[in-house]
Amino acid sequence: MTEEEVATCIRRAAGGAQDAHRELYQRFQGSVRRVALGYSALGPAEVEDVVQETFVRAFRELPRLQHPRAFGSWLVTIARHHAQSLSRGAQVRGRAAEDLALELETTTPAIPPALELERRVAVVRELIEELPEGPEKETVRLFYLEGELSAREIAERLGLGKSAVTMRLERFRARVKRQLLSRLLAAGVG
Amino acid sequence: MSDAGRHLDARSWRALRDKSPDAVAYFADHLSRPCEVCEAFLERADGEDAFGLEAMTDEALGTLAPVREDAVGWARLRKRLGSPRRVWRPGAVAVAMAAAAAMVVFAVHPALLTGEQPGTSVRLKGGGALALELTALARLPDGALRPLTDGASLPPEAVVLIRYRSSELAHALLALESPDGSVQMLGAYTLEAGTHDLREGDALAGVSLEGEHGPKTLVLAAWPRGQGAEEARDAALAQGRVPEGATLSRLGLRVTPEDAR
Repeated sequence: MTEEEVATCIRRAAGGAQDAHRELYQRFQGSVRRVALGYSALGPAEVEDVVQETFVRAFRELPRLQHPRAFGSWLVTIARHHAQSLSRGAQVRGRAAEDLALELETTTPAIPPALELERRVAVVRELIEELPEGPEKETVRLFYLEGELSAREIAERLGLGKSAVTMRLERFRARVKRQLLSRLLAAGVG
Repeated sequence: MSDAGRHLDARSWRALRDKSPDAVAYFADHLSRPCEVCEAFLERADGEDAFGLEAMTDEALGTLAPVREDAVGWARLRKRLGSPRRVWRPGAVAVAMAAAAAMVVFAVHPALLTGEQPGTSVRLKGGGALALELTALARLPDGALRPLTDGASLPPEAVVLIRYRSSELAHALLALESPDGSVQMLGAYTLEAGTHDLREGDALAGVSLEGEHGPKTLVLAAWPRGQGAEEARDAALAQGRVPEGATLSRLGLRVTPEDAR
């Protein structure tokens, strides 16, 4: 789906078109699910809950989204907040819900051309290529490139503890953040 | 402090957030190379995301894997997003819609949805010759598929996949009706002539039973495609009305929790 097609879909979905909702769901549910599946504390039902809740909230707030190009990053932000609140337990869920409400009000990121999605994906692929062959690369490959297994399932397959898989994924994610932040600062956004 | 020793920490993070030219220039260069200290800071960072970095990262990482259709998840979501339940008004009269096709529509009388034997189709007043049949499979929580007979008992976690036979090209609405007459409109479709799975784009259309309990009736209402444009069909979905002449086919189900069966 091209950027223009996504923008058209978002406009139609904001007007209530069901087929546009379906197309957006099918296009973006994988990214949202990846966020939730990275939390090894979450079971399959909770992961599904994150996916469903993310899209329900996003579709209800869609008419307020000012930048269609920000839709993907907006979705994963909602998903991460919800996954965090579920993984941390009921005590902090109320606070996370408040944070989420604030997020929905204010999220209007400006992404420089050097960090358009396509460029970012290329950066991530390069970083994966650069990883030395070994358990970290295997974990990252299974989780992000193949994208079928949860952190829990990868732990079972590799005979590791859940926290070891989460740690590897977080470490790689930090490497991606470091590289993207460098580019963001170089582009003068910082 | 010499440049060589600077790494990300709370202080330098504030400097970046405040767009300090020195910090921005230094870290744009420093972070272009691997740095375990800075990566450890970014791994721990869990507060304010001043740069939108978390979302940019998640979006890129989530785009790497191939896109896979999720018919079950969409069925559940569509139900949650669906129009509120309504009660069909008994004896509702024909009204003219202001839609482009000015199609004639009316609300479905509950008796029309529940009063006939399963497996047959019912033509509403003024109906044409459209013949319609509705059959279904259930995808159960363990992933198994089961053909459904009328009155079949299913757990709320099941998703129902619809198959139809239509004598011609047709527009259709799918609805889920309760014994009290309340009806939830599930979607608007275009039917092909012949026997086909009900589809939404490239995926099978599924009906989630989440949140349902007791007897339910799936109702497929179809009318020849010539009677109005897709916009009018979607308007019919929004208003919960079908055109005069629609043919109805239905399937009874009983939603029962697994442990009560």
